[in-house]
Amino acid sequence: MEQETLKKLAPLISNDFFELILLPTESCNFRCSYCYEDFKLGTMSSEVVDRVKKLLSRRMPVAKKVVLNWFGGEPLLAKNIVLDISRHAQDLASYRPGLTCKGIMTTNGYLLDGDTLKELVDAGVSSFQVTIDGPRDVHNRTRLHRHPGKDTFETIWKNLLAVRDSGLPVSVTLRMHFDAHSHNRLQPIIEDIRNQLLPSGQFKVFFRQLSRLGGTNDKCLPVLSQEEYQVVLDKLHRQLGAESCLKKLNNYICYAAHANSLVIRADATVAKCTVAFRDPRNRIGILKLDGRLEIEHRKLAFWLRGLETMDSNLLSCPFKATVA
Amino acid sequence: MGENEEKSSKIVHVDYKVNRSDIAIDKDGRVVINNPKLAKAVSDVLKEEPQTKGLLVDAGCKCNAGCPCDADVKCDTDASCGTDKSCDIDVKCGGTA
Repeated sequence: MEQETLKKLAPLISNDFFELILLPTESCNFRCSYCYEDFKLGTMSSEVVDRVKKLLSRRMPVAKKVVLNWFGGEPLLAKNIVLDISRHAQDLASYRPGLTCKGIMTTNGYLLDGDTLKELVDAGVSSFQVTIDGPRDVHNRTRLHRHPGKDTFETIWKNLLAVRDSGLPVSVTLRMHFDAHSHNRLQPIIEDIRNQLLPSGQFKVFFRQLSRLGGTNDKCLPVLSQEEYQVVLDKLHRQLGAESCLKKLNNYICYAAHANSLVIRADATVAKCTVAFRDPRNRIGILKLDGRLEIEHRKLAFWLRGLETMDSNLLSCPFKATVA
Repeated sequence: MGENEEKSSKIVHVDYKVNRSDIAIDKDGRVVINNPKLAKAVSDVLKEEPQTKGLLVDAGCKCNAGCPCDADVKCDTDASCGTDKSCDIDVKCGGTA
């Protein structure tokens, strides 16, 4: 094995690093037209929350960097769980100099008001990904509230302005979705982002085409070809300014291909991928009552097969590399 | 060539091919590397002590199985190797005795 290959491999299997992608609830207040989740598992019980905290108590003392990555469902529907577990992790980290614990959250932003933001930051959650699907009229067509008729754009934008005005040391990735129809209608929101959000230094934008990820409307999604996608992406980067855009790395390695990254679902199921929830290969184990993991290593090996060859396709998406 | 350069040049190639089944996750969420060569190589790259529960060779522990083999020494209990170098709990070798 070449030294360079080893350097890429080592962080993926090192015990210095540990990532838990936590789904405190799989319920959601949105019903986005392209969503692939089924919302069936609901919210973590207090007993599952205790399991997660016990796992962290065991694992964190032998790590140098721990990341709690909040996902869902909409994680802020279970804000108290997020705060409870995050504070527990911060408490553990405070006893061990050299151990950093970072909180990241993927949220639709609807409940991310100023007070909530401050509570989260105080508990160590300081990086956020919020998705916008375009200017108000475009966004509200796909980012639907569970209770019809609500202007989700207005609330999210108001909350983003509250982030800006808070002056808190947070970083926000605005994930800007587009499709074959909407990419020509993004200029107004790009202007608003440039003028109203970027000057605070807290925001970056990640343009991303909508993907067919297993939702019931997949066939209706107007998806661009790979060539068209690249052209549109270049155009959008020019419109906003490349320095404010995040780009997907060519050598991106998915968290699912990391041995030191696990997903904990609301019912204590252990998974590797946050998309393939309905695939039995993605149910690799269970987090037990005592906070210990029971892993089916045959299933785990499926997700780690990219480590054998460091094949870029297997590493960037171990799941898609199989079904493609 | 200085000493450091010479040392780094010696580990350009590691005589080992990764097998996905060599990598596991224990019940405490730690990655377990079930091959000493890989664990050592990773350790060298990360400039850290191996955190490979079950792999005792670098922790200075002795296999008490009584055989002459000194390879693939594995802990057979829940003890965390790498933290207790004087443990005398049951261990077994994974090599040929």
